[in-house]
Amino acid sequence: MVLKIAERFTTKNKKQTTLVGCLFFYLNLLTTIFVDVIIHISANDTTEDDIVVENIVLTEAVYYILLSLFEHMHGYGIMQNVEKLSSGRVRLAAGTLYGAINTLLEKHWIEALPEEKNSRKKEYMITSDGKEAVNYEIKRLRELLENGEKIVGGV
Amino acid sequence: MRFTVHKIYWAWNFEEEEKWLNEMSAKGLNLVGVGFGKFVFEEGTPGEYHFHIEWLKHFPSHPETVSYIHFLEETGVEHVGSFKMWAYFRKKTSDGVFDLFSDIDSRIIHYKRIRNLLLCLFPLEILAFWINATSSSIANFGCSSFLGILIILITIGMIKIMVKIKHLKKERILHE
Repeated sequence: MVLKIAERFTTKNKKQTTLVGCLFFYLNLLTTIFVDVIIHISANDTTEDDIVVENIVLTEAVYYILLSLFEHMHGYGIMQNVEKLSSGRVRLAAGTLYGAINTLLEKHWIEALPEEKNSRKKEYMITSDGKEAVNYEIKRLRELLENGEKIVGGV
Repeated sequence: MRFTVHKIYWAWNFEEEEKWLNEMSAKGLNLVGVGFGKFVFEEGTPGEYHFHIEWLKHFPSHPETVSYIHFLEETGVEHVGSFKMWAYFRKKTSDGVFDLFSDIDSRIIHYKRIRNLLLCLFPLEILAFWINATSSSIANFGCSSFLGILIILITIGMIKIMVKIKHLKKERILHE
């Protein structure tokens, strides 16, 4: 009697696990195909740790973007200006520039100017924090250059 | 004339997909539409466009993405279409070199987005595989063997992406 019940229980259980397994499979397939939810979870880019402002080393791209924005300029203008400033050496790709602009906006080193009605292009301008970073960078670059010249000899 | 090609590329092989699209464009076949494993081409001048693919940060309909695509369009890039998180861009070769990323950091961020998706999918697949593998019916066996293959593929994909990230990080020690 007990055995019979146990047997029935296990077969019933087996059916259940089969069902659960299949269900899970379909659910899983669904999520694989409609990955939207997962995408949403994974969409957050991992940001690097906050860097101490006094010890900051600007990337070439950021340095030239900040220099360009001493005059107000829109995205494409920055790309052209940076290429002109460096006589064609530094070419900013649009995706990289977009990321850099957003990071600089978050850091309040640049700000977006209020949009004019007839123009769809957003313009940006450097802030006092941004100017401070540029000044620090110029000091740092000068030190690098002087040390290099001292040891290697002026070119 | 338009025609459709059905082809599947895994997320971690998007660079091969880009290469294929550019080879097609060199033959004068320009991508004009995308879908699930579906590419619509149109005949045009050979080598007129250069193509790039990006895994977006937000959904194509998200305002952030709209403003990103608008930003790209200002620089002469055309948005061909998007499927899920993949966006397909092209730029006239006569308008100069076309790249989406010009430094190591933004390339790493892009790879990390793809890696994060795979990392999220992975435990789900494992769980489903385990549940199917522990029960014994033909349907479950079918499911679990299919999932097993999928898990192996995802693992290979993750390793590929992580190796790429590692290489870029090594590069970054020396230069920007």
